[in-house]
Order: sequence, then C-alpha cells, then structure tokens
Amino acid sequence: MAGIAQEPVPSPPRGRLVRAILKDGSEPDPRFTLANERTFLAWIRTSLALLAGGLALEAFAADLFPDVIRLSATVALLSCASLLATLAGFRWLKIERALRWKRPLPLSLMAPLLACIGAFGSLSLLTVLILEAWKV
Amino acid sequence: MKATAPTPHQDLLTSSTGPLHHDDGVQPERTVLSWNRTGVSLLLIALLTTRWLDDHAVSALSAAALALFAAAWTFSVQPAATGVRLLVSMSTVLPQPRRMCGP
Repeated sequence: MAGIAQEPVPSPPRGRLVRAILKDGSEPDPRFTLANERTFLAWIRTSLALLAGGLALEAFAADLFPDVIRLSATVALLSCASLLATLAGFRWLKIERALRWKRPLPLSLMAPLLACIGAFGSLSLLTVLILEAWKV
Repeated sequence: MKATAPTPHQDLLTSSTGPLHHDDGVQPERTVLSWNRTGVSLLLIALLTTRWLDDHAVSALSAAALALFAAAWTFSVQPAATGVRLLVSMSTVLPQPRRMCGP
C-alpha cells in the first residue's frame, strides 16, 4: 500500500531503572515524551547560558564592576544555573509521570522564578552601573 | 491519459483542513537537533573554562574535560537512543517509492 501505514510492534522491555522511576501508568504518545524531552533540554540550555554568563563575568569583566559586585553576580549566576538544572530534571520527571498517568500537567514555577531572578539581577547591575557612572 | 483515484497520501497533501504531512518523522529530528544545541552549549562552556588554564590548570582542565565528555555523550549516545526508541515505539512504516509520472 502506498502512503504511510502504522503497524503495531511489541514494545521492547524497559530497563530496571526506568521501571523504578516510571512505574505504573500507560505508555504515553511518543510525541509527547519527545516534546517533554525538548522542553527539558531548553531549560538545560538556559541553565548552561547562565553558567556561561557567570564564567564570562568572572573571566572578562574584571574592569567593568568592583570585585565584590562581580563576585556576587558570578555566584548568583552559578547558583541559578545549578538550581535551574536541578529543577529541570525534577520537572521532566513530573511531566513524564503525569503523561503516563493521564493527569493534568504540573504548574511550572520555574518560568516566573527565572523571570524574577532575571529582572532583579538586571536591575541590580543596572543600578551599580549607573552609580559608578554617577561617581565619575 | 487515464485518471487514477487519489491515494490516502495524496489526500493528506491536498486537504485544506488536514495536516500537510505526518509529524512522525519530524519529532525525532527536532529532538536530535535540540540535543545537538545542548552539546554546542556544553562545548562553549568547555571553551570558556580554558580561560583559567594559566592560573588554575587542574581545575580548569577538569571542568573542560567534564564539559567535553558531556558534549560528546550528548552528540553520540542520546540522539541515537532517541531515534531508536522512537522508531521502535512509533513503528512507522515508510511509504513505498511510487512513480510520480506515468510511463
């Protein structure tokens, strides 16, 4: 037959670790699983961007900010990167379980949290820059 | 010229309300691309850590090696696993090649 046909194929056996993490429920649509995986990766890339920002701030902005401010911003960025990567892992798991159990998806607290952190960090650095310029 | 009845595949392509194509093939590709972007980000991190090679050689090399290992794993293992898992679970049978024009 021409065209695309779907033929059922028996699922391969799951590993012990996967069965322990994702027990019960039914297999979700693979497209949803892959979409969940891509969302997780997007959060991980955001975390890596924060990590790169922290590293770049420490490496290349020695003359731009006072040492205390630079170190504080670097620590804040690296902490946020770590927190975001951890939360992304938990969120991936929660969504995967919700998909398996056909439950509503959990509310994401990461987006508003990240927005608040970003706004607060940007405003703080902007204030420091303005104060530095005011002194000069 | 003899007119032929439209096949289900043609219906999908010409329907104004239905999908233009099945999404089966695009999902794994998008996921693999997403893994690749993550790998590139890890490579960038590895590059950045080399900034401290002069002052903190051991720490910088360890961090760079870790990031490179993660990037290599991302580029090789995960896309392959995703593709295989998807192929098995979606069990898509690709269409047979057809003649577009008559003889």
